[in-house]
Amino acid sequence: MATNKPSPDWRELQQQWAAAIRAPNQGSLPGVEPRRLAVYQRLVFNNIDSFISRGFPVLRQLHNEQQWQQLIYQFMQQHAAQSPLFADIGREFVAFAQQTLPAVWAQLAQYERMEVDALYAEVDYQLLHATNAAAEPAPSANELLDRVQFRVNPSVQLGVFQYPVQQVSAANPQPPAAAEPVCLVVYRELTSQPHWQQHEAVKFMQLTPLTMVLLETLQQANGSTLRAALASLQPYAVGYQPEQLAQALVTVVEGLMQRCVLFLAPE
Amino acid sequence: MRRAALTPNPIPSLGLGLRREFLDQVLTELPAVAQWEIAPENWMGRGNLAEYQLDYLRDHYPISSHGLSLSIGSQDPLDEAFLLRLKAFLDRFSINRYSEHLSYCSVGGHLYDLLPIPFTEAAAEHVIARVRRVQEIIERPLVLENISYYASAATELDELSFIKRILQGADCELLLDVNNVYVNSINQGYDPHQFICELPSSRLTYGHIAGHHEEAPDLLIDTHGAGVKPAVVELLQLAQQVHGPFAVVLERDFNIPPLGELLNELYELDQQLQPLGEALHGN
Repeated sequence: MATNKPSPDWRELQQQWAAAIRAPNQGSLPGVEPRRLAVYQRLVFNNIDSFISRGFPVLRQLHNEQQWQQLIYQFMQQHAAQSPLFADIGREFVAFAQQTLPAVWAQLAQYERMEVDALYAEVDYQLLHATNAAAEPAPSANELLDRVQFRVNPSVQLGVFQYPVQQVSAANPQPPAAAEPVCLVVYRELTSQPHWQQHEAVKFMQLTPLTMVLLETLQQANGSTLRAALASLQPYAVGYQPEQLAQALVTVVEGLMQRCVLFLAPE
Repeated sequence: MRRAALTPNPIPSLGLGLRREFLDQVLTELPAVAQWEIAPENWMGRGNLAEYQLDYLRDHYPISSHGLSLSIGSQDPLDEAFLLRLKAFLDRFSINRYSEHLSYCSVGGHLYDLLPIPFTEAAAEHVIARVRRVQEIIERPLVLENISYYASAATELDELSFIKRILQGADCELLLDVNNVYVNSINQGYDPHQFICELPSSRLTYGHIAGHHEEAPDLLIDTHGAGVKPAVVELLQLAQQVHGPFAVVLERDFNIPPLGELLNELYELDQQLQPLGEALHGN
């Protein structure tokens, strides 16, 4: 070039652009017409906003336009999103929310994300086919206790919260902390091997702490009998004799099998 | 009820960008298109249903991929873990063509939109080294698209020199987006015909065509949200005359019409591009 100006550093230019896009009210870019910069500010904001608004519909309802816009800009400015995948923008937002939002809303964000994680979970249907075959004929109570092994639906997302996040709504934006931990499961209702047209429903359920620990134990064991899990469950069942607890758990696992949360492992 | 899509004969030379808005209809009706183009970032890690859908599509059509988040021009480190995942994804679905944008979309974290790289020699060197590394990891050519941009970060080089510098330096291919050339020619005030004629024919392997939005007479936005303007079709005709035929995909990402309507637009475009497109049949 004919001018004597030193070449602008491209790295510095990129940083100036990114800063001007993340914080539109904090100045302009030298040599860039404001209405042209505004196109980028709008495109980036709208794109990120659309993913987060869709991913966190309840949280969105609790904010007015201005508050929400401020929250999205805060996310853009304070959180360095590492994932290149668009489906992960929500996960990035949950990480940000833990640092930023009041505890009840941070936990609500976690809960709302569990739905997406259940929807996109990878499931080995061939394995589940084998487990379904193992369920014919239905096992007796004794078999459920001592013989069969269980597998947890791989799409199961477990969450333990201080707040009743499933009750949060515009009418009840900040419920007080619950007396007991709030245990929630979100999962995909797995059908048989899915055809490309078969959209599986995502289900929600509140669990007792005992059922929660049962599912965690079975998840970790990846194929355990109920009897083997009993020892780790006893502390959560104060007042139950071991045999009473065993009978109670048989009823619990029958319910979980019906709801497609638990499967029998192949023998 | 809208009229059904015209049935073209033979199969059109044009492909179409795949959208989930009409995915189920595509899988049910299997309409005639040359190929489908997908964004890997919208399909990776999306669970079993997405995998089954893509397998089914793969059984019936060629698939090309067009990435969004590579951020080839960024100063952030190249995400090699992502590239390995991407390669596994492309291999899994037998997708050979991987194209991306000559842009950056991250600085200290992702912004999830495409920004113009400052056109400097140093930036070109940086991009060249990264393109070479990408091609090494994914074991495929990287096909780079000329992006649309609304505010110039041009400093040392003009856009054309910058693009040519990278294609040659990195030994990679060009995806010519003629709508982007048109949009940029208005926004930046250059001659789109000259721009297209001066591109290196041997690098040009693939093309995009789309509609745009006129925000102001001197500010067009590349929305992919409207029908293709005649001036843009003419640029594609020119490009194929000058550089020989290449595969083209129609992109539509906003204001998406019913599939039948979109296919009719595709078939009409195909007619307009005949007989140039005929050379493409059978490859």
